[in-house]
Amino acid sequence: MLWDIDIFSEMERLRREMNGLFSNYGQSSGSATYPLMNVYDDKDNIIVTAELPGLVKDQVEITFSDGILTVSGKQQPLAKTKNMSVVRKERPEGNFEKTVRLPTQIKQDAIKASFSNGILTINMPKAEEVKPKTIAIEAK
Amino acid sequence: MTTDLEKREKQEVNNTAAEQMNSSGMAYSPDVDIYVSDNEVLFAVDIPGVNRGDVSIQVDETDTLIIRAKNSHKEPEAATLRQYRIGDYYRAFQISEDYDKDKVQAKLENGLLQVAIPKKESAKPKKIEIKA
Repeated sequence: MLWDIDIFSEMERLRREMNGLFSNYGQSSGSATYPLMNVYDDKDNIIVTAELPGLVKDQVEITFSDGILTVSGKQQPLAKTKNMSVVRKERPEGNFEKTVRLPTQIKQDAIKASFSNGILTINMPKAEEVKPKTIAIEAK
Repeated sequence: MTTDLEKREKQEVNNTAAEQMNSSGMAYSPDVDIYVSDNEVLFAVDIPGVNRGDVSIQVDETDTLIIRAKNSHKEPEAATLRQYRIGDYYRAFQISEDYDKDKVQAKLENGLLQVAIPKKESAKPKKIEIKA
């Protein structure tokens, strides 16, 4: 019996390690805090996305101040499971708060956010003064 | 307590060999919570990005619950910082024969999939009346 359990937990450890390799791929820093985020930088906008499965827009708070974006909220346990016993728990639960320092100036009043199938997308237009400019050459 | 949980887990929802093989490479393994009561087993599966029509749930002849989801969420190509990738999901569990695999119920809301399988009547705990 003992042998059985050891094999099982070893497999589980390996599986988690593999998952870890997957989710950390392409990431500069070591371990990522919840929620996992992607940041995109195109000419006119900074786009921040976050995986927040199970949440709706009223359960997530987004604030922006001094160039720092903060996403916070709470992953609640499912109401239905109150009187059930847990046999496996992998999904994160509880309060979360994650901040991202933006590398450029943002038009604060024009920040827009949307939620689709548990993925949050925050679109932040860059301020006019930091956008790349084309300089016209005047004729003499 | 821990030993008890481990034992239950082994009996009711083992990871399968099929999972180890099929999930390699092409799909992500989603985070799963599993709950049990006297009447049912409930799987809560995080599959952010997936539309309702893109999930396939089946229980095969070996009582393996197989969850597949196609993720068609789109994000721009080049990321400045990337902590997650968009991809399909795959996960499989062995279900005890105490559960009625013809009565699997599932719902997907905001990237969270819930799969509930009721216990067969014959497997439910019975109340025994004490006669006077």
